[in-house]
Amino acid sequence: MTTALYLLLIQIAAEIAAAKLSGKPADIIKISEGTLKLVQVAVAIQSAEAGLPIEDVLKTLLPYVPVTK
Amino acid sequence: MRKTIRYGAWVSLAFTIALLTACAHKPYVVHPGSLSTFDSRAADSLAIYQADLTQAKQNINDGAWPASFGEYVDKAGQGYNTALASYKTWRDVATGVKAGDPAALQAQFAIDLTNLSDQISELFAKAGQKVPVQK
Repeated sequence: MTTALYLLLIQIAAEIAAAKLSGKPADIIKISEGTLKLVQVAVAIQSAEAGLPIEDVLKTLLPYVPVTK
Repeated sequence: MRKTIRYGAWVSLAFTIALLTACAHKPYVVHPGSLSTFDSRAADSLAIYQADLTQAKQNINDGAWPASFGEYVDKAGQGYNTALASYKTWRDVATGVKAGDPAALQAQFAIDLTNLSDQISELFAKAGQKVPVQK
């Protein structure tokens, strides 16, 4: 397990603990913006560290679909 | 609720710093099957900008950003599509699938990627935020 993924899991656990302390039901906990960023960074780092073949990376590169019509 | 958000923000900051520190000295690992380090890094860059655009879309969907920001997100999205098409064209030529000048296409892709980087930075600057995912 890489450092990035390890830290990410700790972060998520910390957020769940904080939400529980606040009395918020665990099933409606929304992952924070900060954690979402960490997820994206971890995924980006993981993709290279895991030795992901370039072809697999290319498959994830999809054209952007506009928000507005 | 407010206490949770504050706690989460501080924890996020602490772990982001720890994450960046932990990863700062790691050498870049080229994706197997890449034509070159440039090819590998180009794909990673596009994946990261794609993640930024996904985040921007989510900000609008969550109401964190006004719906009017959709126009700016779409503008950056067009830049992403241009850079993606440019990268794929360069790769097709570099792998011999299509005919062309790989050096010229690589230079064009570098320009398109720079433009995309600027558009993403402008987008998040308009919202008063830093770009969430950067290389």
